[in-house]
Amino acid sequence: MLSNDFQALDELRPLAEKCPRCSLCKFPPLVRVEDAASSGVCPSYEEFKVHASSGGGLLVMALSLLDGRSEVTETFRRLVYGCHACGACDVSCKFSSDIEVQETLLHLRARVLSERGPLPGHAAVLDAIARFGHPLPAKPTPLGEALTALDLPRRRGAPVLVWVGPHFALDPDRHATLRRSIALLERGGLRVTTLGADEPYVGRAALEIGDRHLFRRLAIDAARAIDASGAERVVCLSAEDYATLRADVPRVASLRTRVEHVVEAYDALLAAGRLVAGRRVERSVTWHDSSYLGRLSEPYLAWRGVVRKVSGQIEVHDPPRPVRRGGGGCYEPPRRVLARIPGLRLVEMPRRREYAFDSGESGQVEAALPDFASATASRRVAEAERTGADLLATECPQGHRVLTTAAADRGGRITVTSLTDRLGESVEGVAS
Amino acid sequence: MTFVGEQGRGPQRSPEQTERLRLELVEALVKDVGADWVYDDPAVLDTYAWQYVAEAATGSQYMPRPLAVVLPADTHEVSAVVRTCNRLGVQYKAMSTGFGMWNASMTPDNLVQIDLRRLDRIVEIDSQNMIAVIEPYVTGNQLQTEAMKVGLNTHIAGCGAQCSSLASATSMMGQGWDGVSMGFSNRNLLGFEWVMPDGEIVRVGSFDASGADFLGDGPGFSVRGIVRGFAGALGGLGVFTRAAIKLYPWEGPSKLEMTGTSPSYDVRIPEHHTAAVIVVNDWDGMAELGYALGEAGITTYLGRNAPSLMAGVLGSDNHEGAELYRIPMMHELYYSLMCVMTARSAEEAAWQRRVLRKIVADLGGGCLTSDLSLAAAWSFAGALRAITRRVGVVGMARSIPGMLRMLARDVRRYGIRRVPTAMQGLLYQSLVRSGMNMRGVFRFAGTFWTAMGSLVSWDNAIRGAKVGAQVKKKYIDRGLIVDDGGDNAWGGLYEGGAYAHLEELALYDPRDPTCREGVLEYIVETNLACIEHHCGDSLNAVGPLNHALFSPVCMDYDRYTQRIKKEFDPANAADASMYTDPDFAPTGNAASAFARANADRAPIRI
Ligand code: SF4
Ligand code: SF4
Repeated sequence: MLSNDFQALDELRPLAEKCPRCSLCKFPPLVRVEDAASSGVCPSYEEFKVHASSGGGLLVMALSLLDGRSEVTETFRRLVYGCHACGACDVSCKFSSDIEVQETLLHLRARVLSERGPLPGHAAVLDAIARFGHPLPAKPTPLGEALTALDLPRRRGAPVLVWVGPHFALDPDRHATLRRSIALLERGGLRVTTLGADEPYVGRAALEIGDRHLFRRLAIDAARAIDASGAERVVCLSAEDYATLRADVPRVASLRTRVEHVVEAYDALLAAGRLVAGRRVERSVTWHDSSYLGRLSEPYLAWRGVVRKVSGQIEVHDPPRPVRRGGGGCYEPPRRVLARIPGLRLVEMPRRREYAFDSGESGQVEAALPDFASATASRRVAEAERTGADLLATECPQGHRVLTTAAADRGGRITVTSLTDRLGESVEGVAS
Repeated sequence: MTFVGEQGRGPQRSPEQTERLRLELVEALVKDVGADWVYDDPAVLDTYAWQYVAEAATGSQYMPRPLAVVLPADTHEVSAVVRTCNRLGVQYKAMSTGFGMWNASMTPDNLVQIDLRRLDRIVEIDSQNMIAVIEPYVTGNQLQTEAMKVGLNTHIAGCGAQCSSLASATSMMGQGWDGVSMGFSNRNLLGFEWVMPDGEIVRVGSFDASGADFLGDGPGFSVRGIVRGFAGALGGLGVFTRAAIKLYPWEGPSKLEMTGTSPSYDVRIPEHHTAAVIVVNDWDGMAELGYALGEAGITTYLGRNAPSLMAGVLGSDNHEGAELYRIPMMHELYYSLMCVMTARSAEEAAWQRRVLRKIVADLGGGCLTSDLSLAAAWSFAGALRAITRRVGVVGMARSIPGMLRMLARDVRRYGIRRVPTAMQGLLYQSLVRSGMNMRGVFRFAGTFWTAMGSLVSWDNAIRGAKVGAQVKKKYIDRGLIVDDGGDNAWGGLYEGGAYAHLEELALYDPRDPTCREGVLEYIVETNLACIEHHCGDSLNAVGPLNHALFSPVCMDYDRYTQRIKKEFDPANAADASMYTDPDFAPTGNAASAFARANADRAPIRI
């Protein structure tokens, strides 16, 4: 019996054992490559170069461990966490296979954590979750306190619950964007509310560090809080929360409320004419598909079945198993929103949509291996610069932060911006 | 059971001696390349030991572990590493993209694996002289992407566009879809930079003498022939750190237009290009078709996929692939070639299409093309008639439900307007970008191995396919490999049809020991059949054991390779376990593979 549930590492083993070391996980699906300089899809392989730092390599490390051929050494641990868990390898591999690379990498982290404990940076993150209810050790303010201080709307019976998340709540640089998001939604006629101090953390960091018990607990709490709010839908401001609530929480908790990202809400309001982007924004922009908003937000569809062999040795999943290939992320809504802003010209990066290069924000890399996170961000900014665009837009608070730093370090040739800010600039009456 | 040679023929060291050696080696390598680029962690070493068809060498999915992995930054660092290995008496082997057991050694704990990942630059594309100078980690895909921007194209080997172009050109075989117009990997190698087995750096070919990379041979003897010959030394003669590769004209856009999402990207076939599946009535028709197309010079890509492989590529998962393969029309699409024609103008495209239709009509067949004209529809009808002759009217009728399901799926996936050409778009991207090869061969069962496939005349390649299919039947009946009807002959024609190859793939489950053993027997048996039925030496004839088999019937070639190895590498510093072994004498383990395959031979009728 195989399933799309939250499995154990050995359950994924039969899939991993089909890896022939073909290296496709290091590149975007080949037909999509537009540029040799942007032909790598795996940030860790670009940085560390060794096969162990690729999806296929990490898969074999897991097998080596399961086979009792190796142990979790310090090198092993650093390689496993020297990966953004961004899922690009998973998308590339699944163009040709049904191997669950991303799932295996996350399971491997859980195994490494249980055998060797967290890296110092990750220990601090787990400690911050325990003490402050959020994963940002540099911000020693409890999440509830920070959310209360923001004094955001709280309306009983409002159909739209805005999910703020710690990355917005605790970063004063993002507060203007946060308020602009709410203003845009209200301007579009939505009755929105927030949970204030009652909004818990959804647990992405626990999942990515590999503390699966903690993640399960946080996910259940978050699902309960959302459903108890009575809202018809929850609109996430942060891409990380969106991915977690849409794809991961439902695997461990019952969540009945519909999950949306704020760009999907803008898109719907613009399409319905309830928001009008009237002012011209004469700029060229390239859109960064964050891993969270994109491929990592595609839900796992529930499936249980068996593996059968037909025609001798053709392995089929019975019934057919829905494979999460990354195409089900949120790709069109941000592009449609940008297209509705008059004067704004979209130029695409070679690596986009399901095989976009990570911005350095994912996988808790920043907490443990900050130089690697910066290197990844710098590679993404370099790619954006090559498009010749003035603006690099994203809608993800951590992505915004790491990309802004990288852009500045590279001489400020491109300005990192938030889609919300540019939309706010174009919609009459929304403060900018 | 092993196939390529004997395991563990290296120096005998105690575990303590090995660990002492490793420590000394790592310390020296760190001096050569820096601490960040040396690994000796067991799990990291396993990521290099885990290799495609490792089971053929070791019976497991792991090859023997190297002592250390090292990632040098440039040629001088490679040379330093090679000198260190010589000094400490350990062997080394370089790899670039590193796909296949031949990247490893047969001897555990005696190898420094040189990963050339950091040498990844396209040094130059000389568009005037149609030459690219590349480092080892440049993939076929990267080179093609950049070459297309300046109206050029490159040969890509069948292992896929994610693999190194240099590795194929300097050290391996290198058959591919584009052979009809761009030849075979060894034909495209011009100059190269070589770190010889003792660490000396030499530059070979015209660029050593004149500074220009236009000729791989001379002055004097062809060193290109010595270092790679027909099949390459598979890392057994030093390290190649730079190569000049011949490029070819590309009459297409600098970037292909496409939409869609994984796994169903929808490629627009450029205006003057044509993708076609060409169907004839029998193997004789196939022979005529290949020669006629080769002579006509109208195809840029030309080759054959067996029906099961086509189904595997077209299906977005195994369910779809298996379902497609069950459709009688698809199942019986034996006598077909696939091609892409790339014209510069509407007139040339029309001419190419006319020639193609004429050739195939004369052979009583037809083709399914991306061209939506009346003449194309008539030719399509010819293809349907040819298939009907094979499957009968009842078979055609039984195909309808499956075809309708496929159509409905394509409508959902690509939209109604794209359906007529979406299939050709898949074919086009598969041939031109070589990015879907893995789907066909790995996904169905987990892996595959290949047999037969020498470079011979096209008729002989077809003969080989018939021989291979008969051998394979036995293994299908035993349930060890995918039932592809016996036929899984993949290959094509080279240089206008001057030579050709068809290799007989066997798809199997690498996790199942019974399948692994069975496939080895299949490989050994097809090799014996190659000799008995004059099909040429097999594609998989790597390693001393196979050379012992093929060399006596192929002008004793291994005597020459052994002399080359001794002359250029007297210290045996470069691991040659997949190349040649002057001291090789098969022992019990290796001999048993042959004994078993010999004991119960499939009867073959030609
Ligand atoms: S993980 Fe997938 S893409 Fe990567 S080497 Fe393995 S099979 Fe190939
Ligand atoms: S998850 Fe991202 S960083 Fe990690 S191996 Fe895969 S592609 Fe590389």
